[in-house]
Amino acid sequence: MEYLIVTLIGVVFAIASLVLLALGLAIIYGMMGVINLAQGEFIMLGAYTVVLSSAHGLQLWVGMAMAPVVVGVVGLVVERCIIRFLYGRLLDTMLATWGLSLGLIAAVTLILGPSTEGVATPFGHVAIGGYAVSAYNLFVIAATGFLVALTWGVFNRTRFGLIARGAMQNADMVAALGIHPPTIYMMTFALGSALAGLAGAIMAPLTGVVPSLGLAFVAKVFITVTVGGAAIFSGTLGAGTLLGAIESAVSFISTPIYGQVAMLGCALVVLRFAPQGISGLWRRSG
Amino acid sequence: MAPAVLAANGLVSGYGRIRILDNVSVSLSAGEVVAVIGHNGMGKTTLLRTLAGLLKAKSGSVRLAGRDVTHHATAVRSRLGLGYVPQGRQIFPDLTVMENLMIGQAARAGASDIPGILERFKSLTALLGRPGRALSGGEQQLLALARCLVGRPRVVLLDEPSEGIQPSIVDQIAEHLHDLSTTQRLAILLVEQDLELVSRVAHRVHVMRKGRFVSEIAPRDLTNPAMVRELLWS
Repeated sequence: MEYLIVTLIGVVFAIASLVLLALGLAIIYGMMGVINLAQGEFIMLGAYTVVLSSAHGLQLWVGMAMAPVVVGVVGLVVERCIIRFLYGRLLDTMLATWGLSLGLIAAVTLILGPSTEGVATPFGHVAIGGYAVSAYNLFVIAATGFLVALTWGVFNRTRFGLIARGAMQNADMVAALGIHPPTIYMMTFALGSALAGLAGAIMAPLTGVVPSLGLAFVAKVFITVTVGGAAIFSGTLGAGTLLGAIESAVSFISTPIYGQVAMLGCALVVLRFAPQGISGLWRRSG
Repeated sequence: MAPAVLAANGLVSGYGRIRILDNVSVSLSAGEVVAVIGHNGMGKTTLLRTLAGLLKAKSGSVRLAGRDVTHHATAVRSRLGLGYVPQGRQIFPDLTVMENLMIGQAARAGASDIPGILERFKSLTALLGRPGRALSGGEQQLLALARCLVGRPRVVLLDEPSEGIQPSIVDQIAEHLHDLSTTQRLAILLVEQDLELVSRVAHRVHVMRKGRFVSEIAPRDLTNPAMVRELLWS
């Protein structure tokens, strides 16, 4: 029984970390149609914010609170200086953000060096029968649930969220009702960046932090968002659950490499039969 | 003569190098309904999109309540009192009726006008929780008009409100337009192909052909089919 609980916690953790990392991109891609290839580097910047703040004697939680602010501001500057000139130009946006990604990796390598940094994982372990589970993994699960609920609340229960959903459906009409769509796009991009930064900060104690950290996450993040489809919350949660469960289950019975292969295979099968992602299937049947 | 709430002078606009509007001037006073008629592709919708700021004027000017808004963005024109109900309604399909109304109110400060608007558009009250895409064409048209009105405009640009709508809803729209122009003193620029609706609500009618106003007629003239045919085709 304890073994089953521990395994279940492992699967839920895999799902939660996938959803946590993908949430920012799901908003940027789902709301604005922007494929931000620098999203992994926003995650990396969030992780470095925690590493640097810890190195300067600040508590881990202070660094985690700073990360979304720092990366949100970076996202805001990127949107104002690059992205806003490229809306509606998918390939140009991909090229520009790819260049940005390479630039950010190079800049961080030059400034902070290529060596692996890290912060200690807090909380210790929780004993479940004869097994020990990292308490921080439970924190990641809880934090992901809280963040998803909070972001859902922002988009479904606030004036900003209402306008953002309207702008996603018809930007011209939103403008004709007196709202400036570029301001909404700017805020949405900054929010998606801030969420990526926070995800990086939360994952920092679980991983070695290097300038190329984002590359390790970006493929998974894109696969999750693409498999999720247009519905930001239900799509990301559905895709995260499906892919996270498959990856962790296959990793458990074989190796993590096969887990990732299984996840990719699952994504290919889903997109073969549901090109609009799994939320496209729900919409069609609804 | 009453001062113009909306005055466009010598408007030229189009798409890329293609010129659609060619030196069009139009003015509306408070409480006045001015209609624009003409066949498809003559530039009627382009005129409204240019006035709304969704299409940039290549030359000419637009003044709203005496203020030059020619170079103002669409959102600014809207906040200054220019309402726009586009062709095809363009309600937000995934937002509920209530959310569509709330987004119409979102750019305005002060107390909500939604209860007052629902008093006017009573049929929407029972549909508030329904997504926009689940409404009939007529209900969507009423919602589009209501959404525009919660923003408290001085002028409404209304593009083909009768298109694809059942006659009973067209009657309702005609009553609303008449009431809004008389009791609220709203100025309305109505682009419409339904000449009966135009003759019921308009005070003046411009005939548009190939991007130009070719004549101005009285609404009663629309009851003369030979004259209308002559104006539209010759």
